[in-house]
Amino acid sequence: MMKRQTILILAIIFILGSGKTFTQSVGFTKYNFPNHKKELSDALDHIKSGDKYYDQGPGIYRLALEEYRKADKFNPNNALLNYKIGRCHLIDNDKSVAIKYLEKAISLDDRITLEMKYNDVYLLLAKAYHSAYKFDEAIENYKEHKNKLTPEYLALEAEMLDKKIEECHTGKDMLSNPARVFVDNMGERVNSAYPDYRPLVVPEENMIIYTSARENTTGQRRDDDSYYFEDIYATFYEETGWTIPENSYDLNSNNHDATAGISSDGSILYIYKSSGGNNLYESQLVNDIYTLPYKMDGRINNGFKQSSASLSFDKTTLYFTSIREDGYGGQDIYIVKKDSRNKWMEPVNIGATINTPYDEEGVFISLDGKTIYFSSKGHNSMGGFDIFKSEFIDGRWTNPVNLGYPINTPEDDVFFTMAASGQRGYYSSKKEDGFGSHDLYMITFLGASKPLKIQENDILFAYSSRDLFPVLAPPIEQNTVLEGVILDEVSLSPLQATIEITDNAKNEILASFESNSQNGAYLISLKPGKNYGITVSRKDYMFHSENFNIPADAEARKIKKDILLKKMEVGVKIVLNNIFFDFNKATLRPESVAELDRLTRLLEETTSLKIEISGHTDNVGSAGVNQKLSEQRAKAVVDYLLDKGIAAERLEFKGYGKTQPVATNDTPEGRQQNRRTEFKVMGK
Amino acid sequence: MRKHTLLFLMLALLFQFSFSQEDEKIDAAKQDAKLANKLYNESLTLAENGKTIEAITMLNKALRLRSEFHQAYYNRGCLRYKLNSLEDALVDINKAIDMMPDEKGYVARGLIFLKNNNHQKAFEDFSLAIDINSDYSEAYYYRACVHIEQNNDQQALADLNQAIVLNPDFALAYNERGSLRYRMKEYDMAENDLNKAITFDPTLAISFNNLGKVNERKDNSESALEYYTAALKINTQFTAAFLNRGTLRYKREDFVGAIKDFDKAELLEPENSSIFNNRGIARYMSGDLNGAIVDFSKAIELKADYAEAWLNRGIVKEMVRNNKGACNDWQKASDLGSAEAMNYLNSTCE
Repeated sequence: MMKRQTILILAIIFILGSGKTFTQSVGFTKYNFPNHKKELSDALDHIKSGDKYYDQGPGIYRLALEEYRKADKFNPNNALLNYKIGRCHLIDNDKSVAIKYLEKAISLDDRITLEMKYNDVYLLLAKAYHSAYKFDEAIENYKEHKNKLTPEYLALEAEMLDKKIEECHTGKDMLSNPARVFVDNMGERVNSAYPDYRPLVVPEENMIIYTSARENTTGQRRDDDSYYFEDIYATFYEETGWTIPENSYDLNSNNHDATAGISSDGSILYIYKSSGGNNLYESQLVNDIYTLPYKMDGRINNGFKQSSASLSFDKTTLYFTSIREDGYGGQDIYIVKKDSRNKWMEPVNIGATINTPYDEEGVFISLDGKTIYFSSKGHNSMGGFDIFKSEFIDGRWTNPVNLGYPINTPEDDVFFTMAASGQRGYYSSKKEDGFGSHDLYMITFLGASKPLKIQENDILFAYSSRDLFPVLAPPIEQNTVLEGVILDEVSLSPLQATIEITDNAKNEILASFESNSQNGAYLISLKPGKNYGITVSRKDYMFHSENFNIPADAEARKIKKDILLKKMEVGVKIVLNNIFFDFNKATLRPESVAELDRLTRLLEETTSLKIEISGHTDNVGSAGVNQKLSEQRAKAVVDYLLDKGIAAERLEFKGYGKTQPVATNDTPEGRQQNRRTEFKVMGK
Repeated sequence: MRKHTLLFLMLALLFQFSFSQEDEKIDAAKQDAKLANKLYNESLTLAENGKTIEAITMLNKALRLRSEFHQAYYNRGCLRYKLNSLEDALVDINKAIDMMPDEKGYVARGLIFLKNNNHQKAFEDFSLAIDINSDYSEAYYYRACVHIEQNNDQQALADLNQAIVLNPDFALAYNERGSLRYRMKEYDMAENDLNKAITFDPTLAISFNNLGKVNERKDNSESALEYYTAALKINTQFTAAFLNRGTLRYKREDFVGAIKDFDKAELLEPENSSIFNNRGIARYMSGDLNGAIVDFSKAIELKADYAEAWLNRGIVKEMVRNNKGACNDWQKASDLGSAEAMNYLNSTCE
């Protein structure tokens, strides 16, 4: 019991740990469908028929699919059937259906296969993703397939799988840097649901001769792969476009007859024929008709197979593809030249720069006689055959250059031919927008990149007369005149006294002058919008200080201020109006310094003077607090004087709290007058 | 005797009367002057609040009350300059200079001449201002502007140096010198100056924008992007900064971001053909070929001789298979002097 549980847990861990979840594949069995015997039987028959068609090759996968789909409708959850349907769809131009079925097959049983020892479901899925341009997914599945291979199969396939992965990387690069071309399907009149390929274009570009394996080929026979035998067709360009192709009956037979090449002037047509050994044939254009083809020289047709050919502009050199023993692997490109007697000499392999261990196909030599285009499954193909270009420079072929996406695709892109104008090319390819299998496509070359011109001003924002603006002249200041007379408080006789005007905010003395000795008058012009201090002093008199505001918008342009000075006598006291404390504290504020220094000076000048500093408050708050605060404030003033060197015995301080008001405590103004610091002459 | 007495009395009365009349006149003149000053001060408040026309109206009233009011003429001249009424501004500033030939008057007149592209007279006035007050840093700055107009880079540099010596916090002078050094391809020094400009005036959006440009030059595209963004934080209506940032984003292949910036620039300056040209390119690169054609067409509509827009539209038309349209556009661009268009005509158009 315990052992069973352990196994179950391990199984769950294994399934979860694999990162994939699998549902159970549903077999076509009586056990699974006990009440659908008839339907089950039919489904099994459909699978059987489908398998039969499938075995006959891709040419009739369509028929196999019809059968498989019927069975799938009955039971969509069978891994093997999904696998088979996916595999059939791999020949489609749209690979998404193949991906869907193969993914499902894997989700039902990732070890599903037709062969006991070889599981290729991940390989098929990788190929489907590869063809669908989903390169990352393709790489992942190629790797998955590789990981699952037995050592024997790995030895066989490792190189191929690595190449496939490399092709995916190439595909990603190509897709991110597409070629500047338009690639257009030549339309449903030219193309069919069957393979259409090997286009050859005449210099006037008004006729294309090509190969098709469509239904109406001569003899309507099917080959081993169930595709129809190839025939040669021709389409003509008219005002309404390319015509429905005509079968070139004189060139065709019941076997494979395919276009292989055409001379640049269109006078010689090369044909591939399967009958008699896969050889190349030549047909001459006489009176606008291609004559019956004849087999080319035995030196050329000396391999296992010759499939395409291209004659140089001067007709002295033929480039052709052939499978020979001296090749580099697969089908290679060969060159054969004519001797002085106009006879073909011995062909030579074009060399390892062009040929690879893989197949080369569809060679085309340009009018310049030094540029070849060809297809290859080697080099940096992004999958299947890709079209490459190489130039013969300084006696050597340059490294082939992939013509890039969207000309090339992960499928076979073959049989490129360049129009005489050099602005267009034709080839066959298998694309999503095709009409089935391979189709003919026209390439329009857009030439070198045409960069768009962005407008960029390479200047900085600096002086601009638009932005410069002179500074306006300042406001006219309408000063306020402060005037008055200085008089003796008792006799009212005019006094000459020193007057100091202070900017309280800046603690700065603005002016210091004397009042008129005759009439005690003084006058000064002051800027509005400030708080001023005025201090009047004279020997033997107590100095007088007070503050006043001149508002910024003061209407009155004249302020009159007469000041009465008190003689310095024992018992006389004055308010020190310009001494300020922090709120509710006994800390002297910096703007008090001027007044304190005046007091210091007075004491220094009259050394016999003894004074009492007293603090007074308004009636707000408790008597105790007020008393204490007034005393502390009086002491703070005395401390300042002591600090300045005034002898302690000359100084007294006292706090009176709210006991000696000089004004009513019922108004803010009155309370302000009551909050004061006084000094009183105690001895002289 | 009696007669004489009477005559004397009459004369005395007349004398007294005429004196009292004179006093009244003086008092009235004083009252007028006071009122004129008040109006003048009020005009300054209006000007500060951007009410330029109202400020001028107020100064008109002030000048009716006090005809010899040089500050009022000066300020009215400045405000008229601001409104681009340069002739009227010149009349006012000339009167102000007649009454009070000070450095400010000459600077103001120099600016009028500068705006009128009369560089020689502008130069003379700024020089006069410097003669009157050799410590007047603004006058050096403005004279440097004249030098820049005349491509006298070294003289401009000398004046800007002097302006900065006199006023080491002169942000605009740093900006100007930085811009000049950029033009002289001295990018590190330009960057130093522009950094000083934003240090002394962190609200100087143009300097942030300029630092963006310098950093682009120094291949610091990330920093450049940040500076443009900073400029736009300060001044959300800064079309050129949107255009610069959009263009940089395009270069960084952030086509969506670029289009957004060009959209904002378009809202601010719907008549700016460059915005449409550049957005057209960004749209093309983002795959919106038809949108690109619409933008290039708008750029061409705004500026018919815009060779680049014709060229670009031709390129996009080729990509949408409109070869005839492409060739027509390239023909137009070629007629306007585009060598590329001429090449495309030869290589592509039959």
